[in-house]
Amino acid sequence: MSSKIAKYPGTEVELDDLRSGRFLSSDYETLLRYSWTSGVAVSRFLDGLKSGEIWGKKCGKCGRVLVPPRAYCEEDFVPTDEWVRVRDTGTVNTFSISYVNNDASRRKEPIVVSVVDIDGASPGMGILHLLGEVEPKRVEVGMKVEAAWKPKGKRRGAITDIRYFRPRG
Amino acid sequence: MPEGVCIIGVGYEGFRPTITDVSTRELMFLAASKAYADASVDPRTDIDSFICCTEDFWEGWSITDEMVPDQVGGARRPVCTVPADGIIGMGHAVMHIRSGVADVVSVEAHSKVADVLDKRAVENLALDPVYHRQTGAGSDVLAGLEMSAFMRRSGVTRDDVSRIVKAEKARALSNGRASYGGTLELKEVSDAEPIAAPLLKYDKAEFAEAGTVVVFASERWAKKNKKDGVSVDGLAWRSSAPWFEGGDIMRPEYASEAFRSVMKQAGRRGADSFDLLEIDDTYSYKLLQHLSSVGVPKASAIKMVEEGRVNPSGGSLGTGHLIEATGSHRVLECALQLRGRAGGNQRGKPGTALALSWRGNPTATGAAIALSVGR
Ligand SMILES: [Zn+2]
Repeated sequence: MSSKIAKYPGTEVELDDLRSGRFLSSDYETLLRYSWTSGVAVSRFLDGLKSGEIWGKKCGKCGRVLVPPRAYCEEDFVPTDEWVRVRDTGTVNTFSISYVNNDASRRKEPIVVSVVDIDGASPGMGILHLLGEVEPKRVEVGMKVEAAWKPKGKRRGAITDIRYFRPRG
Repeated sequence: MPEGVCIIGVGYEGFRPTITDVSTRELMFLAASKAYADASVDPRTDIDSFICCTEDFWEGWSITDEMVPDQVGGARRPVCTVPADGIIGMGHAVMHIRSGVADVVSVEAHSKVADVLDKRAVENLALDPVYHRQTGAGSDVLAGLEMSAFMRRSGVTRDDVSRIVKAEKARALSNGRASYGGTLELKEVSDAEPIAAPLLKYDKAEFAEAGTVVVFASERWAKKNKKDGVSVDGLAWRSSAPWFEGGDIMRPEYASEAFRSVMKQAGRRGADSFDLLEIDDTYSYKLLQHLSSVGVPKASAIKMVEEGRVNPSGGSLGTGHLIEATGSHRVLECALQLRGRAGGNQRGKPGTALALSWRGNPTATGAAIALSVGR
């Protein structure tokens, strides 16, 4: 309500009114499941993560090193041929201190989400990931960071094989 | 007189039950690269508009538009998706060209349907949530109901539909793009396991995966740039009333009206005026029903299928169903035939072709396109 509206016209409906069938509705629930083929570029990238390595692909035409790798350069519309291993270090391009989960629920402790420009990749080629082992208020743009990998046996070829990026040495 | 539009290039990749080596994006890139090479165009400078035919539920990705541009050459260029069958996307390309928005347009459509683990769950979401979904009857049951009514009304027998299946599966054996070719006896087809009787196992097209890209240009542009094209003489799409329970069983309006409009645009008289036809056969009886919609009676229809004048590709029953790329596949087969490049199933030197698509159950939406060469 507001200073101008004390009560809305109409009939208030409580959740129990719906549950008890006082008002008619049609309900439906479904489960959609997908298993996307990773393809040439993403497969090699994920496989690299398993080995604790970050791989990119270089466009022979514009020379950009694309990370995460793509099978084609979108600027030149040519296949990218050369695989390039880049460093697992980088620079914080931007960050956000998030108090909400992706289902919009509130968090007690915030997470720090960042775009990390990877060393060895072309400008604008970053990875969105978490920052860890750092006080949120100490994070700043331009901060040098490195990947904190999961232990070898726990890696499964997923972006989460990197637990987070943390301040370098 | 509206501006002439033609197809200046086609490209495709895949056409297998499951593609495991490339991702959806890579599949699209490969098909697009081939189409642009075929048309001798640089997508970064020559193509003015990019269209992708896709449905978010099949992708498992909301607002799929956003992930389309890079792999079709449309990064930072005008790109849109049309959530419909490929021929409807092509209709948008024709409109872009005729309205002066674009001279050259790329239309992509693909199927990466093996990535969808539970296809039924997606199909069920298309059913009416209040009346149909609650009954547990899925899209194949709707086909069974329609097949039953169509057979009774038309006098089409079990033997007739089995002949369709047999002929298309056999034709598919000589088509490199077909995944489901085979030599079947009529008895095998007629005695097969029921899905939703009278609909039996072989009456339904199995799913397949492929990427397709067709490049359209204004005839003025094609002439100026010395490209040989396949002329688009007419293109239309229609929907019947959205109530499954109604409608014309012998000549569903989405097909008959789309066809009528195309014939008017093309200045042609009947289906008989085309050298070859690629007509929707998502289900075996649907081919006879769609042929009936374009005025071909049962007896001639079966003969035309067995001769290979209808669906020389082997149709969806032989090639596999490609969800939103199904219509694009039919156009691709027509364009290859008209250019004498259809491979093992090339039919002489056809000059005219008709493709007709249906968007599958529970839709009552279809599209048609008339093509020709050497006018
Ligand atoms: Zn490049």
